[in-house]
Amino acid sequence: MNLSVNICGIEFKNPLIAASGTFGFGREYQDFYDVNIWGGFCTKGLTYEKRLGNPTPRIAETPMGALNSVGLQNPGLKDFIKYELPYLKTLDTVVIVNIAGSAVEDYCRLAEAISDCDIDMIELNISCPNVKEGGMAFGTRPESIKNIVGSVRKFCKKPLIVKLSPNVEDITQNAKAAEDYGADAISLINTVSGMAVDIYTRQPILANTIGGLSGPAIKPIALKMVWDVYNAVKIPIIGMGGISSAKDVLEFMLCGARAVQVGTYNFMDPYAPVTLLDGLTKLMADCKIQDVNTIVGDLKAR
Amino acid sequence: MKDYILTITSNKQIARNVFKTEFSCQEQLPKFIGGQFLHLQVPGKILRRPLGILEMTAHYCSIVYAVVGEGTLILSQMKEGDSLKAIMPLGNGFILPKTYKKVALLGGGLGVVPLLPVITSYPEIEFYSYMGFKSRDDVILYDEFAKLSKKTCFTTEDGSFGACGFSIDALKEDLEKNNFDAVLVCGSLLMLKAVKKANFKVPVYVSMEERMGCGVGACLVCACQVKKGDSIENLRVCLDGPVFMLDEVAL
Repeated sequence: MNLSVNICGIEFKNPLIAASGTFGFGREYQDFYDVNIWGGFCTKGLTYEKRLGNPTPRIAETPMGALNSVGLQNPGLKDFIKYELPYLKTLDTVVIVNIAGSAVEDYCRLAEAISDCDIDMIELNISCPNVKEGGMAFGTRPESIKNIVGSVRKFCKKPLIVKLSPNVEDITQNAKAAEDYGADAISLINTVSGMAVDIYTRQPILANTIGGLSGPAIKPIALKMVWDVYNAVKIPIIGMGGISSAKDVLEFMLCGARAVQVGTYNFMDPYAPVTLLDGLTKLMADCKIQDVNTIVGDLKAR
Repeated sequence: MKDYILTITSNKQIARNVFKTEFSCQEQLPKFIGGQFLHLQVPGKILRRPLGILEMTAHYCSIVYAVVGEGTLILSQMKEGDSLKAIMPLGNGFILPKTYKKVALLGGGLGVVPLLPVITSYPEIEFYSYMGFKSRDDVILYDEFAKLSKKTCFTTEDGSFGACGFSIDALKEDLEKNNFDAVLVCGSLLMLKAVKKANFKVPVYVSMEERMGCGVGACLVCACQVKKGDSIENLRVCLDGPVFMLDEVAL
């Protein structure tokens, strides 16, 4: 049985990638299992300068979902290189560094600096809904996507994944813009913009008022967008949004994802990749799938 | 760290809106320090619930919690024999130097829960307990604190149980005459601010509470702002805490 997948020439031992923001810089789950079991993992969103993020509370539970507004808290490039990179270099899995910024120039100089590091890929976060400056503002319109992807491409020497927001009018236009201006792959979807309200205090639960919705609640939205984008671009797609079972993994791959990212499920099951891989092996055997690559985009149109 | 399967052996209401749940665990549970917590998976909910551990031995643990939302409501309705998973024990707990001889515990409401096991974690230290509640109906764990503490002072805001007033005021009265090596605090944000304002002349340890995502330090949801020199840093309540030194926490 073959579980390995190839994205932009990078070999993943399986299609499971820990999603950015849910897996720190890779250390926190090493007490539970060997983190090299993941096909790859995406680091917490990194900005050039250190960020403290948003005030607390930063999370709220919603029906079948979680709403967060961490706001890109991260140590910044200097401390990342000093404290996190040495650990990342010891890993035997694909390491993707997720980068964010407040201005196009921030993304460019970060992409340039990270390209010189011993990591495998860069994921461009132009879709974080939880920061006022930057984040989603860069990734909602094809024009701004062309600008930022085109600019970063000049400085990025690693395979470049562009992470798209679902909070848009037409995601296929944004995906095409990313593809046309130099993205090597596309990941989608980032969280869906949302709110949670406390009727007793009559306040929003999140200190930031709005946040990004993740978890099983957004899976149908994500599946549809992966399918739409699969039919609009030629570059590989990494799908995500509420994956919490092996069945979900296969659904995303049928809709066109060549690999998947797993986020909120890490909070539900601290052994997420172990559980998912075990389930995936059994499910593939049940469905008589010998090679996971054969199902990518194999959704039968009605 | 590990995700353990816990089986409910008892689930009882012990005060207004407050429940005590006892669990058995087939696997051997690790060592535990008062102040640590577990991250409990409640059926049908996405996020786990961080709850202070009251007691934990090789194959047993218990928690005391208030029903404040859907998760704790579901938990309070679970029956003997039901199983759920918990990552445990999490956080640093109250780690005290061996030189301490006499320590004051200051708790408010559900905040008294993680303070009780501190007493059994340090049998060589004399503990003085000051615990405050709104009213008699809210009082929990009086017998347990009375049994284990050198002095036990319970207060209620309406005077319906113990002394009338706030536990911090009861402690303030005793601070002068007792040479406490430290004060350990767990309670509402309002209480923590009052403690900060009171400016005790001894080390003060506080247990912070925050909504959590992963519980293991990966998601950065449960930030606690601390002063590091001239700058502010975010530490993680789940992994770097929940216990911090009061003078470093930005309240």
